[in-house]
Amino acid sequence: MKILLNGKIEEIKKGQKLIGVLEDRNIKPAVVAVELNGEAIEKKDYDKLEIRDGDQLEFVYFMGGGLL
Amino acid sequence: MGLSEEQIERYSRHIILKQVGGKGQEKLLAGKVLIIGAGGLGAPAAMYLAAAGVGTIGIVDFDKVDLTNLQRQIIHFTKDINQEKVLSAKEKMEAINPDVKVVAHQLMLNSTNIVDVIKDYDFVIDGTDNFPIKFLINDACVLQKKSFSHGGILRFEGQTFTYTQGNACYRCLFREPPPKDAVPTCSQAGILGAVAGMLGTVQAAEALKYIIGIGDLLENRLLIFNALKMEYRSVKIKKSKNCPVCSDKPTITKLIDYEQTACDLK
Repeated sequence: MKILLNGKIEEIKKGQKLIGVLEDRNIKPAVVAVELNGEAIEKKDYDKLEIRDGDQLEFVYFMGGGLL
Repeated sequence: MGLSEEQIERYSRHIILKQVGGKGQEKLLAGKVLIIGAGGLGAPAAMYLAAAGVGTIGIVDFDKVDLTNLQRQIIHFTKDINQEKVLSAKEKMEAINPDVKVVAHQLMLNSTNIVDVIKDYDFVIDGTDNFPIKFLINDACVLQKKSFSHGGILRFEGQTFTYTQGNACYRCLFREPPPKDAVPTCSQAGILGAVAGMLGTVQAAEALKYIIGIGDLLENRLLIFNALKMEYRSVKIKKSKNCPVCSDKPTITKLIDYEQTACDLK
């Protein structure tokens, strides 16, 4: 099953939940905000939302930087 | 107000731009921009805004110049080590352009003083590096209906967007600060100096466009770039109807001082 992850086509397992897509890539949920098809997703829904074929996912990292 | 002959010459490359012109330059000279943080992002932003003739530029920082800053914080020179950052920045900005009034705010922002600091400015540039202050700036600007530019950098990457009233805010995407120590700072993870410049100058350009009133701001989209791959992307962000601060039914109605880690305060 193919999805668009951060603008690039990636293969994921069928029936995978959002949390599984993060875990497969060793991304801690705490360090990203997630958008699914343009909608920001609440952290509490990560283990409920099933990713479908053709979905567009964005993992947006927290970035500080600048001052120090 | 009218421009002097010297100003017409100094700003001639702005004035010949049809989107700017003499009128746009006069708006810049009447404009007031606050830069929070005289660091990697604030340094290039401050220099470009001063050069552009933004009439009043406030700069906030509580820190002193350190040797490790000089790799990227180009407004500070070797001679400035141990000098207050706001004073070091003010000196350079006034040397670049005597038209500019620089207001040095030597303090650490918190929930009790931020409104007073931002209230007199037209636009705010967030050049800070820790999340408690980033969320404080977002919430204060949303509650005060103040436009601001968010900026974040880490290693070889940067992200920025511009908030204006009625559009997506930082909390629409990032609901709350990450847990302590979950996300490294530049002092822990490193930053390519020029990446700070790439992002700080985008923020400066947004401030100039906002003051003049031209073009399309980075509203409802987050510009993300990776300098290692040298790729830019613009990701749509949507104003959230469940946003805790900018939605119709906000759960945050007063400012919050989130706890800072010891390394943030160094």
